[in-house]
Amino acid sequence: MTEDNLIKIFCNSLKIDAKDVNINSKSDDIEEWDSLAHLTFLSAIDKETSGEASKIENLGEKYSLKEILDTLNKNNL
Amino acid sequence: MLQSAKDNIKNKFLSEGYCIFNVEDNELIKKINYDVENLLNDKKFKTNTKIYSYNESPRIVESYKYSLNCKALAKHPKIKAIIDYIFDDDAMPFSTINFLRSTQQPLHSDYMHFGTIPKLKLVGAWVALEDINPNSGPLQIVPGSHKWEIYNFLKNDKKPPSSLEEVKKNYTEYEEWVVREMNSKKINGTTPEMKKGDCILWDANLLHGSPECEDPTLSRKSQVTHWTFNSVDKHYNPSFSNIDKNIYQYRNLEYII
Repeated sequence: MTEDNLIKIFCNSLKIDAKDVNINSKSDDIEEWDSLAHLTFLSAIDKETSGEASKIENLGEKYSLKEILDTLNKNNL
Repeated sequence: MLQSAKDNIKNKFLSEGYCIFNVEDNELIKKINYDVENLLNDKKFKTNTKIYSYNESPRIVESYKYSLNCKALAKHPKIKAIIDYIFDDDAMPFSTINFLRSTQQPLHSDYMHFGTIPKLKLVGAWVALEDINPNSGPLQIVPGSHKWEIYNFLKNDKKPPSSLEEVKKNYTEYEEWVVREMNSKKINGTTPEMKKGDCILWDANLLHGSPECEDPTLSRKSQVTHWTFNSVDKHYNPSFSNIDKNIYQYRNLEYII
């Protein structure tokens, strides 16, 4: 998963303008990123990775794009 | 409260899915209304997810984090005592929403937002913070609907939603299902008269909402708190879970302590 790809998934999933997001964005910074949005985003990542992302135990506990990207990459996704 | 009164409340809740009593704490309600006004003036509040909003009136979530008075109502000892008695369990509050006006939300059940294992261990406690004007879009309930089947968002092997648009689409399908069920069962909602301090407890799967509003400019101040139980093993988000296949998207709740 590349940085650009993750941001694109995030913006499409939550209908957020890409100009308002960067790889350092965190849930605290983005009003729309609430608990429902978080699950929706994780579901979108899972779809993109053909179900592999949901096998990562702690991915749901990451609340910044950078952390999520790092976790995906560590798991070879 | 007399034992007979407690038993009446419990029987009403178990048979019809709701009960109403007064918290008898007008001083607290006065302070809450003052605090909520200040939160609004200071713009110091979080709002509910937009896809569950049906008008422009903000729903203030987690007011208890900013107001000790909202918190006191959220964990009010009289409300807890009654829920504990009905369920013979240790009830725990975990979320609040303060409403200024009618939600104008179609009939729905809270169990479509918070699932529990074991199932149906959830209660909503809605408290009127003023006498509710019948034209303000008052709360409607469907007595007995708590015994209906639990709707499955992901039936027929539907995949979990991967966008908020899909979440909304699935939720709209649920709302349409409720309307069809109401029509096929030939039942209508009822509107209980709610005075300041009246608390309605509704069961996990009881349909409620405010679909009919004559004058959306009228205030309808209220606070709802959701309660779960110490005996609950897991909580899940129904929008992302397939209950027929025991596939759950678990969630952690933040209890109000």
